This record gives sequence, structure tokens and C-alpha cells, in this order.
Amino acid sequence: MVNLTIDGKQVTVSKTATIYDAAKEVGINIPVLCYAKKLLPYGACRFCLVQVEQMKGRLIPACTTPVSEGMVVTTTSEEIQKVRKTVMEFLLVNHVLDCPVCDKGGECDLQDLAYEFGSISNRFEGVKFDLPTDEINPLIERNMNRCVLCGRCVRVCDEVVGYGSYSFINRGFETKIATAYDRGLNCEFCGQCVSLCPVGAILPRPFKFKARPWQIKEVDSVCGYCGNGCTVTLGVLDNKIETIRFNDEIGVNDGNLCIRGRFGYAYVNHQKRLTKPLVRKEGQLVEVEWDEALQVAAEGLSNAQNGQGVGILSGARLTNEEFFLLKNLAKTIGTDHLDHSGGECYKGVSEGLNETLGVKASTGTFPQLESCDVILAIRSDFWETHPVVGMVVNQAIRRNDAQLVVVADKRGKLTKLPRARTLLTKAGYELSILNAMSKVLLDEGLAQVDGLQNLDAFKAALSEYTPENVAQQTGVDADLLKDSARKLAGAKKSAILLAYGLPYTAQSKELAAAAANLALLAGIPGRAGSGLYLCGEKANSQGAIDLGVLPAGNGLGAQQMLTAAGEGKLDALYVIAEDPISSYPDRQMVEQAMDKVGFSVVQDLFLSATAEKADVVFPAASFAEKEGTFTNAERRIQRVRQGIKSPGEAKTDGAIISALANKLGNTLSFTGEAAIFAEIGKDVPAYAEFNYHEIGSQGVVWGGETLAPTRRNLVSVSAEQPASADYHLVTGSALYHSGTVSVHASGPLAVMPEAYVELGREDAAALGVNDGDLLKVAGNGVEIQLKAKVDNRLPKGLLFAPYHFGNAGLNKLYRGEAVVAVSVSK
Amino acid sequence: MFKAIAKGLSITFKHMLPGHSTTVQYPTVRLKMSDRYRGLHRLVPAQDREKCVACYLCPTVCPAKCITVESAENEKGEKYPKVYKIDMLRCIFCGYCVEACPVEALEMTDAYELANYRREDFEFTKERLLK
Amino acid sequence: MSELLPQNQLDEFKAKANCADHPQELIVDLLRAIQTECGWVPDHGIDLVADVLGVLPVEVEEVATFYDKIYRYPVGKRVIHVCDSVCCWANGSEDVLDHLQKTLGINLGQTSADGLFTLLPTCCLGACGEAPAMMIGLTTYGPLTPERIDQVLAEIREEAGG
Repeated sequence: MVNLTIDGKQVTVSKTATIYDAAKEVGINIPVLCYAKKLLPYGACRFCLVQVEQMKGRLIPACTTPVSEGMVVTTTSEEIQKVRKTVMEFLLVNHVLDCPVCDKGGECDLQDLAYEFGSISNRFEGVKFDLPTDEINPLIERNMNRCVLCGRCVRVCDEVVGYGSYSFINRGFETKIATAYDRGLNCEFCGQCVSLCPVGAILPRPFKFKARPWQIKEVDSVCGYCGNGCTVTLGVLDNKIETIRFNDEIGVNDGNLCIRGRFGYAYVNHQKRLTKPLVRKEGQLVEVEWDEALQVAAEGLSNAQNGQGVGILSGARLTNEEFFLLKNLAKTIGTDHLDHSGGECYKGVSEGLNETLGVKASTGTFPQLESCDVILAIRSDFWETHPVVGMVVNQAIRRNDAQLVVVADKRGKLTKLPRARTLLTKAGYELSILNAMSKVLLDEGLAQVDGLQNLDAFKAALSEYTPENVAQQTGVDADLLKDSARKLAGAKKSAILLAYGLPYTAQSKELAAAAANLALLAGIPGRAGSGLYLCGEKANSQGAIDLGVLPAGNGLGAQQMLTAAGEGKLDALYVIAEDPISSYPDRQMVEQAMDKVGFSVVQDLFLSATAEKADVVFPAASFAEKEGTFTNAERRIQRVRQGIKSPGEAKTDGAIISALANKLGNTLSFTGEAAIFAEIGKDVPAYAEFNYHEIGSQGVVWGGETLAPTRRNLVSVSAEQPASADYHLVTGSALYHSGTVSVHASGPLAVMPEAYVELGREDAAALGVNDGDLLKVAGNGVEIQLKAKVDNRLPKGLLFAPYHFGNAGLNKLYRGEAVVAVSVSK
Repeated sequence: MFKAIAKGLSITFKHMLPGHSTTVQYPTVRLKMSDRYRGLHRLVPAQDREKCVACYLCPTVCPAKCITVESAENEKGEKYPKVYKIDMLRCIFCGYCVEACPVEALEMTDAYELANYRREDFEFTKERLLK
Repeated sequence: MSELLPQNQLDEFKAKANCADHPQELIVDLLRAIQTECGWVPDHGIDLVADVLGVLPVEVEEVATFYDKIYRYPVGKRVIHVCDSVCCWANGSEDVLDHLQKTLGINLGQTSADGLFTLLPTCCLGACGEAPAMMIGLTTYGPLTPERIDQVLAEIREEAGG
């Protein structure tokens, strides 16, 4: 720690702090433009100049100068103010004065500083910039005439996002921020540059001219897309979400967001939202009053329960409180057939981790990830499913020199990060590689075997998985594999990342167990700072597992329920916030289930493909319209807050479930979310220590920062041999979408409007296919047509198609296998 | 004493003579208002559009909250007021809106005859304000 | 991309880049090599540099546009850089520029009809002692007078012609 004096105040700060940080500590505000909390110091704007007693004769930039013992700093004096005012004059020489039409007006740092310094005239004359605006993309508009060259966008895109779209080009007065060849912005549209731009040079296009900052009501909530649990600040105007506001003071995400979080809010305001309950009468779904719909649903469900039973299938975007009510409803109905999201994909957590570590959650937290030495990511899709955790990984690499190892069947954003090492395997063989790495640790005596159960059986089961064997099978370099395993074992803090979700159902339990085995051998679970992260695809996947929205006793899981319904062994299905026909593996099976089942109730935001086949449809509320809590993939419980009212008569899932339970004779009722949350604590001990109202802006993490495993059991798992063919199709998540909800959001749709199949250049050349051609992809006896997208990400023989677009019918082909053997023709 | 009364009355009668009246025969005669008079608002037109750029400063500063602005983008990509309305029933004619306007797009005229029969007629839309 | 750089040079740079801690340090060398070969650096030249060094094209572009002696658009065979900084300006660089523009029949930033000369302004050449100065290729000329300029241009024309 270092002691110094700032404006007569004594400060003690860490020796890595800068003068700016130290001043902030004691509440002294030094004006800045180029400084941003999450970026490295840069010193471009020269507003933060201060006087330091020990460095007389010149002014020192506070944001780049580290503190030293005994420093005496003056932050304001006549001289400093004069210099700052001059800096302002320089900036305003060629800055266009279009504040009245600039959307930043009212929250512009330059405007604020100009006002603070009273800069009303300029001693210098110059030509105002007259550069064309960059409007080639639909989401981010760049007006370089307003740029002050602080470089925040350049730095955030490089340091945090790891994309590197921007740079300074030219020099002197002509300097400007440009993209490659100045051809305009075409990137992953996370909008981090929009957040950080201190002026109106980079603005969100969907919000263009919509409102002034001071008219917007800000509501802090949690993003409803993935399990990352980013805090999003909804910008609400007249009961409509108009934009997502930047806030880096709260939340686990430091203000970082991805395209879905920042531009994917529009589905909430969509015109096609359901606004009234629908009941099927004479074959047609017609709008009815709530009471009638609830009555029909209640009768249908209780009749079915008296028959062969009811299956309840929920999505993972309900709040914890709603899950609790849903479990109560299942009890009221008397069914054990209760499951959530896909049914197979989460088994990695609920079974894989449970059998190995005795816990059903990730063992570390995301902020810890940044200080890890070695990070092993399984599948390159991790960036696509959880982009903001990806940004943390990027910072671990750039700030703390972490080594990233990616076990993947294709290249992606993760494999492009600095010094990233890619173990590029044939599709579907990730598990073999993890097993081989475990074997390396055991054979070389690097493994931490103390207290591990089943070690001998595990060793025996691994005998086939020598690095050489696996190398031959998967195409991964054996030495690279061995070295990566050694690195993982040698690291003080390490992390293993694995995402799960609907498109990743194959061998989910086995893959997670293999990852947990490797983690155990590398000593990761329970070690402070290290962690095994199994991250759910949906906002509250972890909550669903914590609350036990799972088949109880002899209850059927999601897939079994659907199969049973298709075979006429289940009389009713209640589907909540899920569109199985569009997104579940094996569409024929789901369609058959919906057709054959005697009675079905669907509760959703839109009239989805599944809802179209239902007997009763309830209009539900989006994440922005309800109160409650989500538990993210690192066990962090965070408050979801209501920003707007639901359209029409739509109700929150919780309200619908309660009303239905009342109709079914359950008189239990709760006075608000806090009461339910307290009730949850009685069922789920981990939640009992928290009070709903005391969940702060950073949320609360159950089980502590490092979750201690309750057992250390090695579980032998073996890889399935994927089917062999000339072409293999894998599915997964695309960066721009999450589940099937985002296909109703204009932002993500503007960038990725339709389904596609991605193939490598080599295959494209062999097939004579160009970007945008229609390709026939056939497998499992089904043929579908998809637009081709050609790039150099995929190895020869591998095709990738994202699963978000139900209308493309990908899940007719994909039936839950790791790899689908397909034939491709033009 | 009589002298004083006569003097006083003479002043009084003088004012009764033509040309000494302070009132006018409204509506046949109308006073010219001072340049600073704050009457009905007017949106200043530019060549092919209104001068207003929909910066929202007038509705923000308005103490009576009688101004409604909705901005939008026109074909040229410029910001313009798609909606500009003043509710004259709420307006207190303080003139803050004129003062706040950064582009001198709003001014106050000398029109003061604002009485009307229906409530709706007190809502001055962009078209009416541009006249 | 071989038309940008001979294969042996390309291999050499690739080898250097492989053992460099910061491949960025080779950006200028590679750009200059391409420029020597092509006369200027086209967009696919930037791509080539980015590819060889494993950096982003925009990083190369940043360097390429910063230095005014790396040309990002086609130029004549010889580029005349006329200094417009303080010392030269005080010693009459404006007259030098006028004379050059008149003699060559072109404005700043243009290339003469025969494709031989391109006229560009530059900031200080470090030849303040010889102000007003200009630089053609790697040679600086100064102090310049109209006669001296004509003489230099004639020499270069002769050289190029012969």
C-alpha cells in the first residue's frame, strides 16, 4: 500500500493504482474522456492533468501515472483549469456542434465538460469535420465528425471483446477511427463501443432519434437470454423498452453485453405477442376470457390426471419463484412428470457432476475466471453460447497471460484469442480427448489422487485412451494434448468451461463427467480461484436444477414424456415457455406427441409452432415484465425487475400457474415474490440464507465463491463412436441468437435473418457451392434445404447449422446425436 | 375651494374628449402589441421543412408540460419533429420554450385571440403552429 | 499474392515473423518491401502483411496510413515530398510548391501526365538546415531555388529516360 496526499486529503491505495484511482477513492473527481474503468490506462485526452509536488514544472496525466509514496497531488488550480480549458478548445476546433440532433446530448461527457469549463468561445479556428457517417450495418451508427479520438472503442474492442474492429488511421488533423480499409463496421455487434463512446460518435441505430436520455426510465434487471446472468439496464419510455442502457457500476458483467443483451430486447415489444388466452373451439383457436381458458385448462388437466397422467414441460426462462409455483402446481395436479428444457442436455449437471463431485452446479464464479492461469474450454461454441464469459476469458489472457486450451471440432472466436491453443478434433470426440488428458495426468504422476474414489477402476477404464490412440482417432496432435494436460495440472488456478443446452444433448452426462474427472485429477474442484464451469444455455437453467424442476421418483423426463404422449400413454401436456417443435431434437417425435396427446396447454409469448397445436394457449409475460430472481450459471441469484406492463391481458407465468392451481383446488397463495423466495429456502437449503430484499446489485452466490465438492468420485465414461460419413453435421448456438426467442427480436434478426448451413472453403470448392446457394442436406432419412455460408472456420467434411430457426426444420434431421451423418448436394 | 373643484373636473372632462381614451373599441379597433409580447407560438419554417430539429429542450423546460414532441428521421436522415403539439389550455405563456430553443425554431407572436368553442381546438398541431 | 512480393522474400519474412516476439515490428519492413515491388500498397498488400504476421488487417492499416511515405494509393515512379513545416515555410516553401506545381502541371496529391512524378506535402524532413527542402526517393534536396528544382527534375527525368 502507498500513502499520498490529494488536495490535502490523505489516501492509502494499492501500489498499482493510478492518481486518478486514488482521487476517486476519496471522492475527488478528475475530469476524463479517455479513461474507462475496465480498460488499461491510455492517456489520450489530456483532461486529467494534475500537479504533483514532486514533479514540478509540468502537469502530469492522472489516469496513467501510478501513485508513489508521499506524493502530493493538486487536482485543481487556476493553472490546471486554464490548461484543461485549452484542451477543450482544441477538441472543439473541429467538433461539429450538432448537440440538438445528437442522441448523446444530455449524457455526453464532452458536453458536460464544456459546460463545466464554460467553454463558450474558441480562440482557435479550424475546419469542422465533414466525414460521411458509417451506416452500413443495421445496429451501430458511427459519426466520426463527433469523435474526440479517445480510443475507448478501439481499446474495448481489442482488450475486452477481442474482436479488433477499430483502429486509428491517418495522422495529425486527419486522424480518425476506422475499420479495416475504412469499409464500415461489420463485426459481432456486441455494442461495447456504443457503451463506451463518451460522445455521440457511436450510437445504437435502433434507438436513433427515439428519445432524450433524461426522458428514459432506467430499470436494472437481468438479461433473459443465456445463463451468463448479465445485468441489463432497461431504458423504458412510455411502457416500451426503447434501448438497453450502459451501466458498468453494477452486475457481474461489468457493463459488458453481447448482441443479444444489447440489441435483442425488441421481441418484448413485438406486435405478434399473444395478448389474450386462446381456446380451441371447433378446431380453431379463438380468443376467450381468462376465466374460461383457465376453466378449460383445469378441467382438461384434471381429467387427464384421472386418466393416464399429465406431463409438465417447462422452459428455463422462468424465475425461481415461478419454478416454485410450478412445482406446487405439479403437486396439486398430482403428477411426477415434470421436467425442463430439453430433458437431456442438463444431465451433465444433474447427473454428471452429481455423481462425480456431489454438487449440481459450477464450482467457481465468473470473476474468478479472470485470474486463472490455464483455462480449458470444451467446444469452441462456448463464446457463442456465453459471449460475456468469453470476454472474461479474453481478459484473463490479455491481462493475466492465461493459457487458453480449446478442445473443439471447429475454430471460432475462442480459438482466435491470443496464444489460444486449439486441440482440433474430429466432431464428436471431445470426450475421448478429455479422457486422454486424464490418462496423461495419471500416467505421468501429475494427478492429485488423494481421496479420490474409484481410482483403480477409472485407471483401468482409461487404458484405451492413450494420447497416441486418441490422436490417431481424432486427429489431435498427441504432444499438444499431453502438454495441455500438463499445463492444466501445473497451474495454480485453472478452469474448465463447458456449456450445455438444447443443441448439445448428446452424451451430456458423460462429457460433464469426463470434464469433472479431469478437474478432480487436476485438483480444480474446491480449490480457491479454480473452477469447473457447466453453464446453462438459458437465463435460469441453474435455478431449474436448484429448485428441482426435474422428474421426481418414477416421473418421466422431457423426452420420455413426449415419446409417451406420442404413443398415447400420456393424456395431457402442459408446455411452458418452450417451443419443442422448433427447438427440441427429433421434430417428428415432438409433433407426434402434440398431435396424439388428448389435451395440451401451451403458455408462451408468441403463438409458436407448438402453441398452434395446443388446446389452450395462455399469453405469458417476458423477463422485462416480471419480478423475481434468476440463478445464473455460476450460482448467482439476481433480481429480475419489472420494467414495463405486459401487452394486453398477458400475465406472468407465475400468475398463470397460481391461477391454474387455484382452479384446481389449491388455495395456497403468496403475497409477492419475497414470500415465495422465503418459501423456496425451506425446500432448497442453499437459498435459505438469503433474504429477497437484500439481494443487491451484484446478486448473491449460493454455496460461496468456491463451491466445495461433497464427494470426489471418478466415474468411468466412454465415448460413443459417431457415425462415419463423408459429411458430418453438427448443430449448436450462433452468437447472434439464443434459443428460439431471439428470432422474434429485430436486432439479432437484422444480422442473422435466417437459418444457414456453414461449410469450410475446401468442401465448398469440392461441391461447387458459393455463399448464399441453397444446399440440400439429407440425413436420418430427411432432406432439408438450407442456405450455404462459406468460411474457413470448419475443417473438411464438417457442416454446422445453428438450431434457432424452427422454420428451417433442422431438428427433423437432428435427433440428439453428437454428429449427424449427412449427404450434401446442391 | 371651488377653484380647486373646477380644476379637478376640468382634468376629468378633458379625458372625456376624443383622443384621450385609454381603451379601444375592440373588436373594431385593435391595439398593436409590443414586440416582446408573448402570444401564440409559431414554428419557424425553413426552406422545405420546419426549422425545429426535435431536440426535446422545449418540452423539457416547459413548466406546464404542455408541449408534446415526437422525433423521427426523415428521408434525408435528418431529425425532425414527427409530432409537435402545444396544448394551449395548459400553456402559461412563460416563453421558456422560446428561450430554450437552440435553433430559434420557435417564436411567440402577438396573437392573443385564442378563445374557442371546443377543447380539441386548443390543441395546436405542427401544421397550425407553422402558419 | 505472389505478384506483391517474390517468394524468397516472402519466405524470409515468414521465418522472421515466426521467431519475433512482436510480429508487429515487421509491419513497416513488409510494407516497404511490397512498396518497392509494386510502387504502392494495395488493399490486398495489407491483407498479405496481416496474413504473414498473423495480425489484424486494421493494425497494418493503422501503420500504413500513419507514415506518409507508405502509399496507400497509386503514385508516380518518383514521389516528391515537399516539406511544409515551420522552417521551410519561413524560408519560402510555398514558392517552391508553386514552382513545382507550375513546372509539373499538377496540384498537390496529383501525378504528372507522364506518370513520373507525384507531388505530396510532408511534415519536417529533418533538413531544416537546408530549408526549403524536398525529398525524392531517399534523397533530400535543399536549399531549393527555382533553378535548383528544375535541375533536380531534369536529372531525374534523364535518369528515368535513360
